[in-house]
Amino acid sequence: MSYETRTAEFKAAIDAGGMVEAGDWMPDEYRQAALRFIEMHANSEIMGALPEREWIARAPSLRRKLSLTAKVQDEVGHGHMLYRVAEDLGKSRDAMIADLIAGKTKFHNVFHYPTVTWGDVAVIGFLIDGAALVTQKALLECSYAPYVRVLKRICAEESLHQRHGEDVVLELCAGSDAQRQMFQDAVNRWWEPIMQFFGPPSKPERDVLLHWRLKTRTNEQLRQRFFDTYVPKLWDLGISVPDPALAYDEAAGEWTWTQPNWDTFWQVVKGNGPMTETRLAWRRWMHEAHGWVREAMAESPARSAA
Amino acid sequence: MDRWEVFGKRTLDDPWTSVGAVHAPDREMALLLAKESFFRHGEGVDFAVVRLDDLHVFGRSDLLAFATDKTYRLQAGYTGMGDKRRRATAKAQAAGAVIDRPRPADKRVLNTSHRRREAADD
Repeated sequence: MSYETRTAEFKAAIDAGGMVEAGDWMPDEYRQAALRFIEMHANSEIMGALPEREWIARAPSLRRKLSLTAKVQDEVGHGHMLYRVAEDLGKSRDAMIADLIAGKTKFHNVFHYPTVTWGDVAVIGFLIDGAALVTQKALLECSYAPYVRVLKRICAEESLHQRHGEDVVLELCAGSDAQRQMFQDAVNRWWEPIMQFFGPPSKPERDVLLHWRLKTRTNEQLRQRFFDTYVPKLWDLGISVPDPALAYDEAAGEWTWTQPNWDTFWQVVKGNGPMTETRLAWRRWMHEAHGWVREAMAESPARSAA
Repeated sequence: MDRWEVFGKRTLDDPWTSVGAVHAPDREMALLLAKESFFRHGEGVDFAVVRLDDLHVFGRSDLLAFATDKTYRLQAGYTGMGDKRRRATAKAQAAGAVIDRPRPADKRVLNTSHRRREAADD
C-alpha cells in the first residue's frame, strides 16, 4: 500500500472518531504535529510552575503556602506525564529538556510574564488555570489516546487548582478596598496576555492540528467559551474587564472583543518576553544543580541487579 | 501454574483497570483464558495480562494516608465559596457596581462538574 493510500485511510479513520495508540502506524505529519503540540504542553507545565513558585515564600498564610507548594508539585507532575507521552512519539526526554532550556522550543505566552503581587497569583489560579481548563477539556475529544488518558488526570487536578484560584479571588474581592484593587490591577495587567493565550483567530481549514483532530475546537471557539464562563463571574464580583469593546451580542450569541497586539504575542512566544530569560536561566540552573540525582538514579544498585 | 492478573479497557482512552485473574502455564494461554473469562460480553476494546510475580504491589495504605492535614489537596478543602461569592457581590453592589450588561442566558460551560460543585455550595 502506498504512503498516500495509507495516509488517506488513517485520515478517514480519525474523521470517523478513531483513536491512535503510540505503537500504531501514523503519517509523519501526524507524528510531528502531535509531538510538537504535546512537547509544548509539557514545557508549559514545567515553566508554568515557576511564576507561582516565586510566591510560595511570600504567600499570606501557611495554608496558602501549602496549597501553592502542592499546586507546583502537581504542575511538575503534569510535565513529567506529558514528556512520557511525547517520548513515545520519537524524541527523547533529554532532548526535550535540552531544547527547552536552550530556548529552542516554546512554552505558553502567559508564563513569560512577571508576578508582581499576590493579585497576580489570584489571576493565574482563577483566569489562567480557567483558560487552560477550557482548552484542555476540549482536548479530551482528541484523536491521540495516550494524550487523552493523561489529560483526564490533568483536568481533574486542574479543576482543583482552579477552585483554589477562585477561593483566592473571592477572598480578595470580599476583603478590603486595597485587596479588591490589588486584584483589579492584576486583571488589568493580565487581560491582554490571556486574550493572546488562545492564539489568533485562524482559518480552520489551514490548521494542521484540527486536520488530525489533535485539537477539536478553533482558537476563537475556545476564547468564546472562556468569555461565557469567566466574564460574568468577574462582573458579579464588581471587577471590570479592561476591554471597552467587550460585550455579549445576544442576537449573534457571541462576544465582541478587541484584538490584542499579535506582534507582541509572537515576540513573547519566540522567547522575547519580559521574564523569558530569567525563568529559563532558573530552569537551566536547576537542571544542572540536580544532575547528581539523575546520575545516582542511573547507577542505583537495584537497577544494576535487575 | 502461574497466576496472571487481567487488566481491561472499556474504551481506548481509558486507563487499564484490574478485572480479575486467571491461572495459566504461559502467556498465550493466559491471554486466551482472560479473553474467555472476562471479555465475552463486549466488556471492552482491549485487555492485558501480567504475571503476578511481575506485579509489585505497594501494599502500605498507612503510607498513603495523610500524616498531617492536607485537605488543601482536595476539592473538599475549599468550602463555603457560595457564601464568599455572595459577600463579594454584595460588597461590590454596596460600592455602586451595577451589573446589567447582557450575558449568555445559558452558561455554555464545558466544565459541568464545576456547576455541580457550585450548586452543592449553595
